[in-house]
Amino acid sequence: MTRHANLEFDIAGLSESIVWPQPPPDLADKVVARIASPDRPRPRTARFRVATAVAILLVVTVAMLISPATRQAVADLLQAAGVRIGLGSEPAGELGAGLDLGTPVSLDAAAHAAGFTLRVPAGHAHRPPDSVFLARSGEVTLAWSGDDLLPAAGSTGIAVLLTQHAASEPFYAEKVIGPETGVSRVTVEGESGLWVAGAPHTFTLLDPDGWVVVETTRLAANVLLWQVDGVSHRLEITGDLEDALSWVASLEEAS
Amino acid sequence: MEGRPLEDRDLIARAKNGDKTAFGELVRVHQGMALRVAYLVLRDHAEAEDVTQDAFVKAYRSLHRFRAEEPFRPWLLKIVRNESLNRSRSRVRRERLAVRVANDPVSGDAASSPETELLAGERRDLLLGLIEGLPLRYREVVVHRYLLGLPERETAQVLRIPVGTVKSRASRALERLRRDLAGRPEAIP
Repeated sequence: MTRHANLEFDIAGLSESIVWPQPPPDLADKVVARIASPDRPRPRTARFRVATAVAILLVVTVAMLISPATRQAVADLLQAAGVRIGLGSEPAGELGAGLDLGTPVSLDAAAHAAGFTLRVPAGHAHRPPDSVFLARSGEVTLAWSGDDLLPAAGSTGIAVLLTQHAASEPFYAEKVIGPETGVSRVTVEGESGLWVAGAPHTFTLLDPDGWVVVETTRLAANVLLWQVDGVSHRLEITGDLEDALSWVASLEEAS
Repeated sequence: MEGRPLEDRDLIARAKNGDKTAFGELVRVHQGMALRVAYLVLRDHAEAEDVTQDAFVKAYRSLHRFRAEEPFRPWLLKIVRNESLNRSRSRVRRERLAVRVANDPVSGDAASSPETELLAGERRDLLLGLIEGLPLRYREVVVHRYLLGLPERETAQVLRIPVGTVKSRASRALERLRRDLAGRPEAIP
């Protein structure tokens, strides 16, 4: 018996108060019927919807670029830390090698070269990154492949991308959000951040010098953006917000 | 609720050989816990049912990857949780767990007075609120370990963390809950 035995007992007792879903009497029959039938594609037409969304996004992006008022309005709404996103293509060799993320390096080399304190998810719950990239700008990107819990996004083979770079000053990030994408303000490590859920999305950024940069994500995944201690973070992940925050909570200085 | 390893093993072997009825029996054995795992993520009964059905179908189609010497339930629950997390991806707001109203007795204790029921209900709501307020890594351990009643090893497998981490997180979570409860004037010693 532990020193918290009474509390453990109380929490276990809470289970009786929760209105749990009851198994419908025909659940097993439905499952058996489905596995007995040929493997049909799901009724949803995700591929079609994504293709449509991309087309719409391109149109909206152009509209945004020629409309300073609209651009400023969105910028005001979606102020966030600096974001740098490469153009997508098929992976070649090293995981993420086709994504224009920089030069593949070791984690130690990246930590040494970065002009800031590089952090990585720590603890047994997280694997070491499958690949590490260092961009000429000093930006470091870590990539993880998909697994049972976090599936890879599309054909990239990647489930999580964590990008960090020094941010001398915060700057505005505008986003064009697709019809299936939602943006929420969230608190991350005590700082204001953005959670961009759904896919896909195109980012239109204003860099510190005021130049407009249009870049498109290559993963149909969710993105968490935040800035803390002068470092901008971008976590692109195929999981949900709780997954993302779980990764954030495990960040520790790379040794 | 450790499952029925021997019976599971037999049913899995038959299911791998194409006996779909055997897999249907596995569904009946594990559907209750699978639904609860889905509900803890999705907080919606209908959606939990939908995801659980999908997860069982996915489990059947992945049976060839299941290692016979491993327990079936945590393997299945990992799939259920994964499917649930994927389904909830676009959500930001998390609904509270649905609880019975205070005057809806669950224990059949005829001796309980209305005052006792009220106090018990208040403490229950307080404790549930504190659990919901725990950081994710602690909350997950608490709900799987105590609300679902999974053993430490199974909790570790479902959450994909070492058993030692389950122990340490559970201990820290309970310590924090105990401290928070003690700080509340309405807490019962």
